[in-house]
Amino acid sequence: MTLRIEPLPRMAGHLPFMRGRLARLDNVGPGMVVAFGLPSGFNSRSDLAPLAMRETSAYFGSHFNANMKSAMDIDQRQVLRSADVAGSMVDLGDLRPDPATGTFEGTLRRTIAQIREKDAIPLLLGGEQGCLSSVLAGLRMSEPWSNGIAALIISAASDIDVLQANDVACVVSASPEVPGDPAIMSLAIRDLRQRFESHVESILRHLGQRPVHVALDASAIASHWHGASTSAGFAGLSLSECRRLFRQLGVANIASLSITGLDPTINGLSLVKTGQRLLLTAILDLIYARLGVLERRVETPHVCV
Amino acid sequence: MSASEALSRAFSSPVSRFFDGENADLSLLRRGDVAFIGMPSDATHTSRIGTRFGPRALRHETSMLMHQLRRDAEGGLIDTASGLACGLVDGRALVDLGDATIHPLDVEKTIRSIADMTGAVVKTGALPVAIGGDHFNSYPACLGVSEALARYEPGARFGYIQIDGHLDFCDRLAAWGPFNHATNARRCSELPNIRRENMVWIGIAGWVDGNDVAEIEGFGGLIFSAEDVHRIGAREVACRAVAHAQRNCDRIYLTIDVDALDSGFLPGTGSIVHSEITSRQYLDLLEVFAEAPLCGIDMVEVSPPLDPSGRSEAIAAQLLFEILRPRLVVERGRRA
Repeated sequence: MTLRIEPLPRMAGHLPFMRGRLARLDNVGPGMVVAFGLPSGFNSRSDLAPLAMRETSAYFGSHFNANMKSAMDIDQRQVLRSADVAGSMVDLGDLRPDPATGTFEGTLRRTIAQIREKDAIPLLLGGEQGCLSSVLAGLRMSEPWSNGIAALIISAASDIDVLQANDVACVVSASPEVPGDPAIMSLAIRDLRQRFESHVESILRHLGQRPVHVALDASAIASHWHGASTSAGFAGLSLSECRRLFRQLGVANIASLSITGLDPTINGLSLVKTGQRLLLTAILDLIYARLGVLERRVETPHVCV
Repeated sequence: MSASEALSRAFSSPVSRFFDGENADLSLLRRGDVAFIGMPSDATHTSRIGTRFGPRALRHETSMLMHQLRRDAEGGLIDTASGLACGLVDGRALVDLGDATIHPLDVEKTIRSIADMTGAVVKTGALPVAIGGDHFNSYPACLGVSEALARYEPGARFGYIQIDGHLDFCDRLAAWGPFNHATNARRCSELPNIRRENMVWIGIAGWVDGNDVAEIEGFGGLIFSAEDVHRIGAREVACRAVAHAQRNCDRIYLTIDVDALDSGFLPGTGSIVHSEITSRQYLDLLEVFAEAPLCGIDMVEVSPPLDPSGRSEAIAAQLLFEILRPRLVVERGRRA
C-alpha cells in the first residue's frame, strides 16, 4: 500500500494566525480577536517573529482541523467550543511601515485604534517591547473616556515610561524596579509564586475597570524553558505559571494583547521552535478566556485509583 | 588485564553499537539477553522529520556512555542518588541486531520487517528494545511482541504503558491514512492479546482530541497528563501505571516517546510539547518501570537534525540507560 492515500493537508505556505480567516479591517466585527504582525526588530531578529508564530500557530488551529473532532486541554481537562473560535479569529497580515517616516509607530497606533473602535481585540505578533508606547497610544485614541487605560506588562525589562494621567500599569518581572509612581504596581515573579491568588487579586484591583493591554515579552519566561529571547534570565516565569496568570486574568477587561521579544533565529536557526510554541501556548489561555469558548472541566477518573 | 587487552580498549569500533554491545544475529541470542533493533524510519511522521537518524545517534551516545561507565567502574562506581557502590553486570549480553529493513514507500512492508525482528527476539526469551524512528514504528515493534506471545504462549495477555506528549490515538489522518505517528497507540489497542483496559498514557500535554480521551477512559484506559505528573509526582504516577497495566496479566509493553520531556530540555524531536516534565522526572518514571515485568520496549522520536546542540540524543541515551539499568548495573552495597 502506498504511504499517502489522500492529498496532503495545506500545511505549507503563508498560513494565517491559528488558521483563522484572512481579513481586512473593514471585515472586523465586535468580539473578534484580530491578529496582525509587526515585522520589526532593532536589537534582534524579532522581525521574523510574526512568520514564526503564524507557522507554529497552525498547530493550534484545531477549529479548522478535520482530524480533531473535539479539542480538549488535557492538563486542565477543559473542552473548547471550536466552532465559536473559528468565527472569531481573523488575521490582517503584517503591518507595513509608514511610507512617510519609514517607521511603524503611526500605522501601529492607528491600527490598534481602529480595531478597538470596532469593539474587537487586537493581537500584535512580533516586534520588540519598544512598540508598547504606540500600542498604548492607539488604545488611548479609541477610549474616549477619561478614566485612562491599563497595561499589564510581563517582561524582564521592568522600566516603563509610557503612562499618561489616569493610566495605570502592573509590571511582572524577575527583578522589578521600585516604582516612584503609584500608578505603577511592580511585582517580582518570586513574590507572585509565593502568594499567587492574593497577588492576582491585587493586580486585578490595580487595573480596575480600565481597558487593559496585556504585553507578554519572551524575556519574561525563564530561559531554560526556551532560548528564543535576546535577554536570557533564569528567574522568569514557567509556562504553567504564565498560563495560570492568564486564565485568572480572563475576567479583566482585556482590550488588546501583544507578544514581543521573540527571536526565532536563536536556538539553532529556527530548527527548533520552542519559543514561539511556548508563547502561543501561554497566550491561548487568555484568548480563549476572553472569547469565553472554554466549557466545563471533564473530571479525570484516575484520581480515585 | 594484559597489556594488549588494555591497549585494545583504547580503540573504539568504527561502527557504534547500542551500549557497545555485541554485533550478533538472532541465532546467538539467549534468554535474558537484551536485543536492540534499529527502526530508522521517519516516513510515517507527518511534519518535522529527522528521526531516521535516531538509531545511529543513540548507538553513538550509548556506546560513549558505556565507555565512560567502564572507565569509571575501574575505580568503583557510586550511585550518587542512593550512595550505593555499584558495578557493571558481567555476563548479561547486550546484542545489537542492526536495523530493520525500512521500505519508505511501502509502510506495510516496513511493519512486517520490524515485527518479524521483535517477534524473533521474543521467541528466544530475550528482551526486544526497538529504537526509532518516529512513533509509528512502535506499532510494528509491539505487533511483533504480540504475535510471538500469541504463538508461543497462547492465552498470555499484556498491558501497555506509553510515555508521550501525545495520545497517538487517532484512527486515521486525512492525508496519511491509518499508519502514521498519530495512530500507533490505537493500532496497538487493536492487537488481539493486549488488554486494552490495561493501557496507560503518561505525560500527555496541551490540546488533544476530547473524543479520544473519552474513548480511552471509556474502555478503562488511564491517562496521566503532564499536569498529573507534577501534581501527583512522577514516581507515584509510575507506580499507579504499573499497577493498572499489570492487572490480570504479567507482562507490560513500554513505549518511550522522548517528546514527553519538555522541549526546553529536549528540542530534538518532531512534535514538541511544553509539558514542563524535566529530565529528573522522566528518569524517576523509568526507574520504576525498569523493575516492571517488561516484555518489550521501544524508544522513539529522537531527531538529531532538529537539535544542533546534540543534547537531545545525550538525554535520550541516559533515559535508555535508566530503563535498562537493572540489566546493566549491579548494586554492591553501601560503600565503606
